Amino acid sequence: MKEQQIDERRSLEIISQMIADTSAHIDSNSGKYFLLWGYTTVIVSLFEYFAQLFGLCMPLCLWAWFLIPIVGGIGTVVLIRQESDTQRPKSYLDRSVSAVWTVFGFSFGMVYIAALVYGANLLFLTAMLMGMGTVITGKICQHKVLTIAGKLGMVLSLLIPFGHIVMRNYAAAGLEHIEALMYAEIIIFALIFAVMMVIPGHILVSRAKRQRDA
Amino acid sequence: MLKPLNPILHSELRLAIVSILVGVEEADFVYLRKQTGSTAGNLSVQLDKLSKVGYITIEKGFNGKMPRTVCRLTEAGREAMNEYIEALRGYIGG
Repeated sequence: MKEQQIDERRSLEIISQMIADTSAHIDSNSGKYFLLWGYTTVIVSLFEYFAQLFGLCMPLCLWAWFLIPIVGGIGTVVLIRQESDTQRPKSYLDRSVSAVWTVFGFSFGMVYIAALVYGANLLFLTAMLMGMGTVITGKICQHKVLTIAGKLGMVLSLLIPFGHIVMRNYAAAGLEHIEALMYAEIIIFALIFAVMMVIPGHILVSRAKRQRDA
Repeated sequence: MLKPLNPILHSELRLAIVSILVGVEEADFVYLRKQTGSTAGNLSVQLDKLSKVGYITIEKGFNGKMPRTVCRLTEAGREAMNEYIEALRGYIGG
């Protein structure tokens, strides 16, 4: 492309082509963050489930929950650095989505304190908040898959308190013969993150790959 | 009567730069060079022209140890682009 005068039709061509090319780059990496947080949460939750079910390394293994914010946080910083190396343009969507998750990150901190001080159900509140964040991100980026997955996650999070009740009244509920139900709320928590973050994350990553290859 | 097209924007490379910046908050020099397929020298000259008329801002900094030049469209640039598209509609007959 050179510095030259153009006719009106060529002007329109340039405007449409540049806008289309740029919009293809705008959300090419959003799926990676969902995969990072989704897989980290699912893996740590499954580890906790089996560790608690079989009484492995307790109570030390409970500290493994902290791996979610640690791995997710470090991974997020790495992904942001990788993105800035690729010279990808920064869009208004980036700023909006980043603002949404900064607020939700702060909310998680508050939820954690509430869980610690008042004994609130941390898994339920986390899944509900993550669902809300996912729905808002989906609405901002106009990714239907995120909106649906987030709503599904919010609905499924209602099962966590139920799992908690089953767990607390395990014997009273007459479920001694089904040991796997003992820590049902953790399995439900893992399932929610698989549905809400891992699956849409893969869809977004493969969609972005197709866009790049096109 | 047809409105005259803004001569600053009615140039292939400058129009491409502004069209890219319309859709993003900021874009760096390397990205603009790749997207427009222009040479670094030519791109620098055109960015400078757009900056002098106040259509874009240019911020020079570092990404780690690598120098990085970031461009952003100003409100004046966005307005000029809107007017340009409006005038273009008259020529195309839209």
